[in-house]
Amino acid sequence: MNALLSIEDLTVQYRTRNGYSLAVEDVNLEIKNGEIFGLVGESGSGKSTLGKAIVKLLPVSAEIPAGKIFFKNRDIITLSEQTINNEIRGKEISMVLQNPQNALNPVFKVGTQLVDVLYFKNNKKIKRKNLKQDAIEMLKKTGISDPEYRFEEYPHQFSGGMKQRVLLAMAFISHPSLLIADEPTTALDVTIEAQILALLKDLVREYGTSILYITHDLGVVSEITDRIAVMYAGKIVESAKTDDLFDEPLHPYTKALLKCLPGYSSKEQLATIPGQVPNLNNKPTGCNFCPRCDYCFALCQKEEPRLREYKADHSVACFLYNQEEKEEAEVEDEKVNEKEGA
Amino acid sequence: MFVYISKRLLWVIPTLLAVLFLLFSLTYLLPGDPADIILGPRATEEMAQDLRERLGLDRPWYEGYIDYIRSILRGDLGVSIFRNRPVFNVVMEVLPYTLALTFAGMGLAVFNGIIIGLLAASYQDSWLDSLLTFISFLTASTPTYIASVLIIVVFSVNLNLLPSIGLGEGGLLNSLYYLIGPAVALSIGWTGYIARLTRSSMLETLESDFIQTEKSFGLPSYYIIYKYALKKAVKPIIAVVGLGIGRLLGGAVFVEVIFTRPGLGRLIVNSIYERDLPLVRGGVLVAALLFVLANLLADISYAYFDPRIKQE
Repeated sequence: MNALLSIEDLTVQYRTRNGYSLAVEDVNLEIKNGEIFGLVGESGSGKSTLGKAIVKLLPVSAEIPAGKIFFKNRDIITLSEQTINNEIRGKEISMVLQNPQNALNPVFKVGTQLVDVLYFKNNKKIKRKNLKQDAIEMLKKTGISDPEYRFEEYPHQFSGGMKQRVLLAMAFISHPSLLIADEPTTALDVTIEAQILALLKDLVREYGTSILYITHDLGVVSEITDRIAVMYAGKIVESAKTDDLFDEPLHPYTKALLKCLPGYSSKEQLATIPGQVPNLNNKPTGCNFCPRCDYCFALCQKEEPRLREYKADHSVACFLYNQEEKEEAEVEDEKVNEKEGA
Repeated sequence: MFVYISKRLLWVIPTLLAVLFLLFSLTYLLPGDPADIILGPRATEEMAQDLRERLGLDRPWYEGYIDYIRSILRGDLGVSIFRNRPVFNVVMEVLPYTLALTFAGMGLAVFNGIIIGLLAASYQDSWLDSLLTFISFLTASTPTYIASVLIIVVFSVNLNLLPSIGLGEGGLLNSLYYLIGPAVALSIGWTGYIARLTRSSMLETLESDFIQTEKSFGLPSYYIIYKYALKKAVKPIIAVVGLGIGRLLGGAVFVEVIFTRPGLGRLIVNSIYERDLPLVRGGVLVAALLFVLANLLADISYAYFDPRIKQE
């Protein structure tokens, strides 16, 4: 396998006043070279935590009690902060965060901030003034007109969409192998969103960068990703190629999410998923989605389904698609019924 | 930038007019006849009449006010009653000492305060942070006169390292040597205050989204703290320093009295005791002017730290 990033059994927990809350639980995923991988989930599903864990930028209250994150065959979790900063962050893996509005330092020129990323990428070996031309080229590539002039301007002179272009320039200027994009278009207008997505596709084509695209918006994911994983309450519940997932969603949660998309279902009224994401301090036993699920049966309340391959490249964590376990459970249920009947 | 500075400069005019009006009305706000109060019970009616004329009390107040403003514009601050010399000269004699003391004191406070605040913020919640927080609170709540007395007792009397009074004869070096004690005493309270301010402003800045961005792009943390965060965090510190310098210019009285140094603050206080009205007016006017200038400088230096102002 030519996996660029491979996450194995990763768990991330936050210390809180009421004990630990599991934000990410036993997550496995793999991103191949040049692939755009979508990670979809509601707020609080742990998708951003997962993104931050990859570059180890978690808040101090977070812990990683188990799991491995292999990036180019090195386990990031075991690397020192120094090594990650010098060799991974902004060099091999770049990250673009949610709200471009405050993501640039207001008191420094855009050009200065762009050049600094490159300066440290080159381990301070090339003088800043020799990097200016590269930075201007990069601004031009991200669709900023008159880049020589804009280079000298401050962030408040840029619109939200323009700031996101600058941030993408900062992300791509060091030719990273992986870009973690955490809801990069959520704060933008729909028209600007479409432009940024188109730009992202262009950049991927040019640099061959893989992307972990984190979002709650299935519409956006369908446009640009090759594969998708759906996260619910810290776990991946379904993972498939993008087309397969939209053609044949398996997990009840995925189905419900798709029904919430305008224009996906033929019903006039837009569907919603009743209930809330479970409290991470106090997850239900059995399947996390069970309390909100229309297909929930006895076994779901007792045991937690594991992510299993249903068919080639399409995995799901649901007992509905695991005939053996389902039948076993039904047999057991029958036995119980028989005993009660006798 | 030009527009911004011009705007700030224009604001100086109404401020100073208001100050002038208050100073002028001092004469009328004093209960009783100012001439009698100034001269005391043993003065003759002739002397009193003479003084009334000098103070312009024999004319309607608005005429006096216009005259007052006219003479101020000519640079004439009047004549001191008891020293019988132009107020301008009396004030200018003490001004260099006041400026030296204020800038030395504030300079020390800014330098030490920012270093303490930065250290505390970079090692947030460690034992060092707690220690520095304790020191900051201790210094911030030490009144200047206690700090002055402590310095004299410890460094002048017991250790015999620093002079306790005077300006020092001849030579710049000797003057600076005599300035150490007073400047340190003056700086102590402000050091703690600026340290607290720096710490909280830095911590707030370090929470910002753009710091997350800078981290995620792999900039080293020393670089993020001392270049990117510090420049953003420094703005409230400038505002406070501007106000502080202004306040110290006429308010370093305790230090001047305890270390027996001439200075503007001490001059104003003495002239109030002597009821030397022209000298009070002149001294306070110069102090107010310096206060306004210090704040003007702070406003202008904002522009360096905030590009939005620079573009105005």
